[in-house]
Amino acid sequence: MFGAGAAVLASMKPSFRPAWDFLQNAANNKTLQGLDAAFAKALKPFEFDAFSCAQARAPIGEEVDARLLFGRSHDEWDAYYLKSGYLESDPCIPELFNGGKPYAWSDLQEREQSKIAWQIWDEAAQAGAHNGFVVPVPNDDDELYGVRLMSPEKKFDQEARSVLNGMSILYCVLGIKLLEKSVRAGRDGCPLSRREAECLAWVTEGKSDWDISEILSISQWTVHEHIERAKSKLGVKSRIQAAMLSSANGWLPVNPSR
Amino acid sequence: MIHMVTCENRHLYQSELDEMHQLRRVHFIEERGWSRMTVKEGGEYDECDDERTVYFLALDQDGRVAVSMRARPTDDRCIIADVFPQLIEPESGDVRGSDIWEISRIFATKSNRLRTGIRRRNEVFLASMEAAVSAGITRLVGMIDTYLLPQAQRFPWDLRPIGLPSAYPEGEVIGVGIPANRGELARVRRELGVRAPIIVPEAQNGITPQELELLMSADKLKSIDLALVKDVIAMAARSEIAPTNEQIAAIIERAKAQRSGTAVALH
Repeated sequence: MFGAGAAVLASMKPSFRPAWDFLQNAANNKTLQGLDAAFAKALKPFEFDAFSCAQARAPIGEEVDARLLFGRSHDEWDAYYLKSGYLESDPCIPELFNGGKPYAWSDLQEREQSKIAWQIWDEAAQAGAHNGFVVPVPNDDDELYGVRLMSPEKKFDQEARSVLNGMSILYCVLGIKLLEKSVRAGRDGCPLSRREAECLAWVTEGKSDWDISEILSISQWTVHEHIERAKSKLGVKSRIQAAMLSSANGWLPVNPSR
Repeated sequence: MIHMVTCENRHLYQSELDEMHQLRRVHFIEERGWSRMTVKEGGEYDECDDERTVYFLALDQDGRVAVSMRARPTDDRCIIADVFPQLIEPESGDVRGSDIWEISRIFATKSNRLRTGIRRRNEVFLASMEAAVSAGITRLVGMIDTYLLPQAQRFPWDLRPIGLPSAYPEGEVIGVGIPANRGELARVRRELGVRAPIIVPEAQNGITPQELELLMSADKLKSIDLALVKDVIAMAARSEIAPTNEQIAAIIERAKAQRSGTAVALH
C-alpha cells in the first residue's frame, strides 16, 4: 500500500523536508508568532530570510491600496518602500491582480523596462533583497492577500516553486485566521492608546507622518510623538515593527477613522 | 439544505444528475482545460462515477444544480493513490480503506464561486462530514488545486496536507486529509452556528426530496416562494380532516399550477 509513497519519501530533497513538516503541522500553531517561527524555519533551506503577508485592494478607477498585516520582514526596506510611495510604481503590485499565479521578481525583470521598476529592485538589492517570490492568495470577494518572500540570493530552486506556493498559501490562510481571532478577542491587554493605534493602522497602509496628520487633523509632530510612544511601549525599534506587532495582536482598528 | 444522492435514491434525481455531469464537463474540461477526460452524452464521467458513489448537490431556488461534490470509498479504487501517489507521504496516514471516502469533482456554478456562494459551498462540505460520520467513515481524502486551498482551508474542518504540492499540466495540486468523527462534526457545526441537520430527509409518501427542501426551508425563501408555501398551508388548513402526505403533494402541485402564470424567476 505504501510502496509508491515510500519511494516518494526516499526521493524527497532534504531541503524540502522542513517544508513538509510545515505543511503537516502549521495548523497546530495557536499564535501568529509561532506560525511566523515555523514558516521562517521552513523557508530557510530555500534561502528566503524575510516574508510578510499584506492585504491588497484594487478598486476600479482608484489607486491600489495595500496594508501590511503580519510577518518577519526587512523593516528598514519596508519603511523606505512605503515612504517613497513605491506601492504605486512597483510592477509586482499590478501583477498580483493578473491571473492569480505566483511569480518571482526575476520573472518580471525578464520583461520589465521601466526605469522606476529597476530603481526599486536595485534599491531592494542594496537593502539585502536580491529576489522575491510573491504568492497571490484570493479572498472570496474583490480583495486579495499577497505573501511576499525575500531572499538575499538572486537565484532560488525553481523546483521549489510549487512547494513555496503551497506553503505561502497555507501561511496566509492560517495567519489570517489567527489575526481574526485576536481581533475578535478585542483590545484585552492592549497597551496602546486609541490615537497610537490609529496612527499605527495608517502606518500599515504606507502613510507618512504628514499623511497621517492630514487624515487625523492633528499636527505632524503629534503623529510622530504617538508613534514614538507606541514603539517605546512595545519595545521595538521601528514603526513597521510596531505596526505589524500591533496588527498581529489585533490592537489596530480595522477601519481607522478619517 | 443539501441533497445526498446514493444508488438507492438516484431515480429521484435523474435530471439533477444529468445536469451535474454537464456542468462538470463545462467546468473541468472547457473552463479548466483538463484533458484525457471522458464525455458521454454531453456529460463528464469517470470510473469513480458508479453505484458506490455518493453525490452532494446544492440546488438553487429553481431546482438547478448550484454546487456539487462526490464521495466514494477508497478500498477498491482511489484517484490520488492510483494516479497521483507523489502527492502522498506515508506518514500522513492511510488513504485507502472501506472507512475512507475520497472527495472529488467539487465545483460551483459561476454565481456561487465568490462570497455569494460561501454558504452553499459550506453546506456541501458540512453535508459530506455528516454523511461520512453517519456511515462510519473516519477520514476524507482528496486533491485540490492549490489556488482553491484558501477556500477549502476557511471551512472549519481540520484539513491538512498529506504531501507536498506538485505541478501538473493544468496547474498545481495538493493532497489533503480531513478527520471525520462525531467530535469533529460537532465542533464544525458549532463554529458554523448550524443546529439542524443539513441533509434533506429521504422522500416520503410521494413527497419528493426537492419538495421537502422547499417546505423545510420556507423561512429562508424569498417572497414569491413563501407565498407558495402559504398557499399550501392555507389549502391544507381548509381541509376538514388532516390531509395525508399524498394530499399535501397534490396540493403543492395545484398551488404551483395556480401560480405558474405569475411566477418570477429568482437568481
